[in-house]
Amino acid sequence: MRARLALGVLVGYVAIAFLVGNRYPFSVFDMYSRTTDNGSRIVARVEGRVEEVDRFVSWRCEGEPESCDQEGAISTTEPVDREILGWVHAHAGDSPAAISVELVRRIWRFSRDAVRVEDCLVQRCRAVRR
Amino acid sequence: VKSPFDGRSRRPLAWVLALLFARQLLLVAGALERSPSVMALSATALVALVLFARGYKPLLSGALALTLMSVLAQLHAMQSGGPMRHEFAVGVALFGWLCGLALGKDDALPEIGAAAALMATYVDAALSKLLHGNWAESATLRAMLVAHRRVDDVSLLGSYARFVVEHAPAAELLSWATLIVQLGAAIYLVGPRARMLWGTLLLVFHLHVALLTGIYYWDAMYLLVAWSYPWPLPRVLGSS
Repeated sequence: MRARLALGVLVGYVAIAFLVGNRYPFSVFDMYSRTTDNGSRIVARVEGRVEEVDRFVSWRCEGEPESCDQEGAISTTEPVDREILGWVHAHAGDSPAAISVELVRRIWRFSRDAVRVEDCLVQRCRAVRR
Repeated sequence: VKSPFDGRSRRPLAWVLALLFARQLLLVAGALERSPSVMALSATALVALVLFARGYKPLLSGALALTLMSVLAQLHAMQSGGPMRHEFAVGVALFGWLCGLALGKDDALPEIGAAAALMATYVDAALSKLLHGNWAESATLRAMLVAHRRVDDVSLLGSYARFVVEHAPAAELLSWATLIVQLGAAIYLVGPRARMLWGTLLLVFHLHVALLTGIYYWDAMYLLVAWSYPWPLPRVLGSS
């Protein structure tokens, strides 16, 4: 009985999850399954150097954020992007002490032998270093 | 299938499950916009959980708590733009526990059912990776690390993460190890020693992911600690 239960629950859960997708408490847990050749993170760039966005406050940006679609298929992580851009919105301001800061998406392109790094401009802003 | 808790009461495990479930329920409810319906659903689920833990019509009360949590979790998923998988482990374990309860009066069945359901999540994750093709050889792990780690991290862990990002063979090795540990989760169900071994491997996997990326699956880790080792639970009176 125990073995049948263990096997039945294991196989049953997997089968139901693949049938219904993500319906609590069922999930296929495929969030880290997609294959990719690149990764990215939104960072702040000041005079060519990149730093974390939360090193700055009193953000004021021009226009709407650019998507970097022209760079090809870029692997993004929505919750992380949301958190970083959330910091910018939550710490908006208009300080006279603000300096020019570029919000950029840093992209790491991976191959077997090397990692190529490039930046894509998301938004031009002004902000104050904390 | 032997359990490390044979001859012992599983009541403490039911309480552990109920408490972890209640904690996650409160976290999900707290993340939702406060409304009378959310508060009513949460309060009802909490009452159902207490009844479940106390062994009062546990199948019915457990199923009610799981259904209400499912509604709250779906609302949270809609609000957050996608399912929050770290919320799932306790629901999965309760689902398995209820399957065991439904099947018979052997005190071990709910505990084994919960273990089987929890292990199914790891098998699921491994199958998803395999279905996407050359997952282990791809840069998925490296992409995950650069997305989650701060660019200005100069700590020891930051250096380790950078090493993995810059060295494809190291990333591949970790990816293959992940696949093996997840796919082999079925071994957890074979017996007490296998449970202890694979439970430890899964805990190491979770801790490694947490240290590298900051992604913590607390409930899964708590459940693995509670279920994997022969804790000295109270003996069942009258049992051999």
